[in-house]
Amino acid sequence: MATSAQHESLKERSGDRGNGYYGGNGNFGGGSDDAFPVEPRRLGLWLFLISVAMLFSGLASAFVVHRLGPAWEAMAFPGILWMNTLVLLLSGVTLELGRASAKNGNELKYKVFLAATLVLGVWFLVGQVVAWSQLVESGVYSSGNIHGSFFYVLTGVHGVHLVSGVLFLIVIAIRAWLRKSRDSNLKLFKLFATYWHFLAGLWIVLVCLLFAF
Amino acid sequence: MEAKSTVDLHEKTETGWMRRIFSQDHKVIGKQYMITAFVMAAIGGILSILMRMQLAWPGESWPLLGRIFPEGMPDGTMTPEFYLGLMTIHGTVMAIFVLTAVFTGGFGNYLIPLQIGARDMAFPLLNMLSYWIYLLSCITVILALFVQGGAPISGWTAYPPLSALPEAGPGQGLGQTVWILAIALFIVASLMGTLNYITTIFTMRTKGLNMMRLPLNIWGMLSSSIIGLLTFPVLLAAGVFLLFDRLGSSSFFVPGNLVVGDQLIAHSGGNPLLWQHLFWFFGHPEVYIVIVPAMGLVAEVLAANIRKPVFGFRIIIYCWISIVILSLIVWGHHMYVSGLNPYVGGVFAITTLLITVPSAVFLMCEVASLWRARIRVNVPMLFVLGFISIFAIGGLGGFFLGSAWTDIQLHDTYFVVGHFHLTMAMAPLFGMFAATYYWFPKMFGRMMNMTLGKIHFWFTLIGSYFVFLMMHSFGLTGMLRHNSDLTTYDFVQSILTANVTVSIVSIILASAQILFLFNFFWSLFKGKKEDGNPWEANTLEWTTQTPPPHGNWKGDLPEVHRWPYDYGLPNGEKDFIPQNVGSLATADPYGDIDDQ
Amino acid sequence: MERANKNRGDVWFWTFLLTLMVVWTVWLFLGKVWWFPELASVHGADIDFMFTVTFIGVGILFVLFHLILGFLSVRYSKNTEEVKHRVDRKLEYRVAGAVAVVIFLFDVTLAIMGETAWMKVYAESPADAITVEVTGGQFAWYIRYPGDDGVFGRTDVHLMDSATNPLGIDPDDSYGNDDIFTVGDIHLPVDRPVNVFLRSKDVLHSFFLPNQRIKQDAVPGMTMKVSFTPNLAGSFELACAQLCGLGHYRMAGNVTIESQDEFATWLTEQSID
Repeated sequence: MATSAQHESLKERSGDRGNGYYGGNGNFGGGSDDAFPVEPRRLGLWLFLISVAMLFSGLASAFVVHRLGPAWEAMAFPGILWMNTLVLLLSGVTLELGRASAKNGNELKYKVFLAATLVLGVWFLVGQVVAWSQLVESGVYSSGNIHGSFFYVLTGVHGVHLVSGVLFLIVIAIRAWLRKSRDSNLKLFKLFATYWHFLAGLWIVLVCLLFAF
Repeated sequence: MEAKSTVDLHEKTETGWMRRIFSQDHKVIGKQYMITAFVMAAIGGILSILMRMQLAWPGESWPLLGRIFPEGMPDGTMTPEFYLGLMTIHGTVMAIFVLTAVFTGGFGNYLIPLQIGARDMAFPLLNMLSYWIYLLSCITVILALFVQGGAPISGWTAYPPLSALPEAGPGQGLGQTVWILAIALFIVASLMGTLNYITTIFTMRTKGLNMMRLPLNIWGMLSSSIIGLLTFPVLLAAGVFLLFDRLGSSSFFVPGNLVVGDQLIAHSGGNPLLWQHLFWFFGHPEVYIVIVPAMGLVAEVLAANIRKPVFGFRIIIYCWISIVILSLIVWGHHMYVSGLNPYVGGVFAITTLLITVPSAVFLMCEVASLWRARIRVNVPMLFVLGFISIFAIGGLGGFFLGSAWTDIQLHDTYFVVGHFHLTMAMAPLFGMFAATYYWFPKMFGRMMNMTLGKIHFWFTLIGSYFVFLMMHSFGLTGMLRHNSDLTTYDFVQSILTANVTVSIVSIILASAQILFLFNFFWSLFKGKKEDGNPWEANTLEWTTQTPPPHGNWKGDLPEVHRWPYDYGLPNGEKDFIPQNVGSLATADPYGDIDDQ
Repeated sequence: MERANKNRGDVWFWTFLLTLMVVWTVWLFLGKVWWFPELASVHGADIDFMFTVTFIGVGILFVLFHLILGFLSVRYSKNTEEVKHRVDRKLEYRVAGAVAVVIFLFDVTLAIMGETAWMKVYAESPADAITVEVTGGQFAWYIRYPGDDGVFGRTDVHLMDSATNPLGIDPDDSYGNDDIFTVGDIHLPVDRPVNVFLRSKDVLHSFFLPNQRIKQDAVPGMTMKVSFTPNLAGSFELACAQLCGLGHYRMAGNVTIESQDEFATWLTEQSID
């Protein structure tokens, strides 16, 4: 983007007083002692996670209202969710292994674990689609049983967030292969790790809510 | 020198027109937000004029309008569904696409980095995307007026089952779906903005600017952004459910065994009240998303025009913090007669009454600021005074509506219409006008015409008082809102003549805003040049050149040595000390020394 | 500085308008130019009393606030004060505290008195109450009385037909034989408690009796119970207060409050039809 040239120039200009434009050069934000010592992107991510949490609180509160309502009929637990859950948890493990190898400077292992996380993430998404198609085959549609409707909405909205996570990971993977600045990529990777673990935790909460509440 | 060459590079990159339109500079984005919101306000205003015409002269034929809206006004006579469509779009556009956007999106974007001494927002790209998605959402919501079947008729609150069933009325088909999409787009744009504003305020403050030295305006923007961050996602959740009910035939909100127009509806087991809870969990805080930044802008304009420190700087901040918290637990007062358990209603009445305390204390601080002041009476200051009075009247009406027992009679009457127009429409608009007249010279390097500004003020003030106080009074008779024709009921016959007067005055009030728009665009090119600090204000935006360059300060960022309200202190020939002046003894009564 | 002096006229005009507005508003509400419809129910007296209490408090705050605002704007735009930086944090907290306490006490007064009235409105109705079923539909009110047996006949949505059988009353159910059905016409005896069972067949409606101080949404899928005792005979109106579609504005009905005898006669007439 051409506009990034502008910001590059600003970064240099403001560099003389140590207030990094993006906070990418070790100085966070305005770089002053009076700003909160948080990396802006990390704070932004956490704020985003708060808004996602509020979105799911809205969805979950509706679920609770219906679950405790008079017309509740439970649907069967789709067996494939066991596998999907396992895959998603495993992707969290490979993610952490990747982070550890990056810390130890093992570039190859880092890339392998990155790829493994990506594969597992996509596997989970495919598994979710399979779960949906199995449900449709067994006669659970978005209309009809409200438990089924909730299943589609909650997994769907969660899936959308997971797709964004996978896209995020693809960007990091491409940058890793292109040997982009390792430091900045590692920072992105850490942000990604937070997001990914959040989504995995959210998934556990959703499954418990849907089938164990 | 090296620094010079980078500046040259930057000048070069600023020239292309593509770069100017798709700019990531917060100042450009702020102006884009602002001007788009003005255009949306003009559209919303025109819709309200059409509505007031129908209310004053129901069934009257307006052949010219009939040609513009052949479906909604066949032969120039307005159909009830067209009236309700206008009402829905008017409410949605004004509450969300104008007032929510213009404060944080417009003034927030422009002023936050300038007032905290930052080069730009924390995430300039996200900021740019926020604006373009907002623009898309604006186009989408206007589109709802023109799709097959017309605009949705379920109001900006879109209560299901009316909003969930395409069979329930014209406009409930494609129109309602487009409306939901517009809202969803707006939520995305708004969240991108709030992430940016909060992050920027927390992490990008310049040296010396701790939280308690932030101008009140920044505190207002911060409070509003936090409420938005917490409540807009809940509306999105409700929108997802509603979309599913409409397109996926699910039954989140639609109960079983409904018969609409002799047709049995194939839903079962939904809960219509669920939508109301989710909607108002957002919908009531929305009022504070709009009013708190307006309070902040007003406090800022007031501070520069009283030439003494504002009264209760910290108290005002505490008021806003309590408003942020309380705003999340009062939503039930919109549902007293909707089938809510009376005990729950009783509890919401108490929380609602409690929120009057911080609002009243804020107003008291604003009024007490005038005490022993040296008030400079100019157009921004007049709008500030107008804001104080109008917000107070609106707030006092809230005692009747927040109390469950009196709300029974007033719910859904014109008392409510008058009340929310004063609190969340006219008061924020007064704040917006004050801020526009005040910051225009910083934004565009010219002054707005103050004679026109005064005429605009008197028209707006008198019009607002008359129209909305009359509406309060009408509401006592039981006159109901959402009625496209008021002549049905005997109990409102007594107001019909006076209602024509209200329509005429409200049309004048709406038309008077042309003065403002004309003044704004005329002054862009012809206004008196001004590149200094015309209001002799202390905040950081006045320490840079006008208009500020890309990156906001040519050289180093300013350092802050004091709180923003050192007015009334001798500083040579002047009576104010800007925040970046360090050499003089500080009188900062809220400074760190004081706290130790 | 001269700036302020130059615009003294504006302040005077502003204060003049403020005064005018206050006087006019006080006249509007104290003079009862437009006022509540005539009170015609027992619990309505409590609601109206709460209005009076709130009006007094709000009225005092309204006038006092604008007096202070107007006075300060005129007094301190004179511009003769010397430049002085005054911040007295103790004073600030004292004044804010005083205002907070005053508003809080007003809130507490309203809450204690109001919650009492609120609980009265929703109190259990006595056993001898008359039962009426009111069903909202786009865009009419369908009224049903259970007849002598006191039981409503069965309804079935599959039998609903807006022209002939808007409620879908099942003719095979013997309980339904003596039920009385009208469209938008409610008759009630004076001074006798009534239970209205409120339903909706399509979207949200709201059962609004302005004279009886009754407003309650009819929520599809739920049955709401509204209890009140009309205490004034006469002919009153029923309105729909919740946006229900394009015909919302004309979804009206009649409420006739009459003596016990007249009511009995009306019931007999209806059952003969």
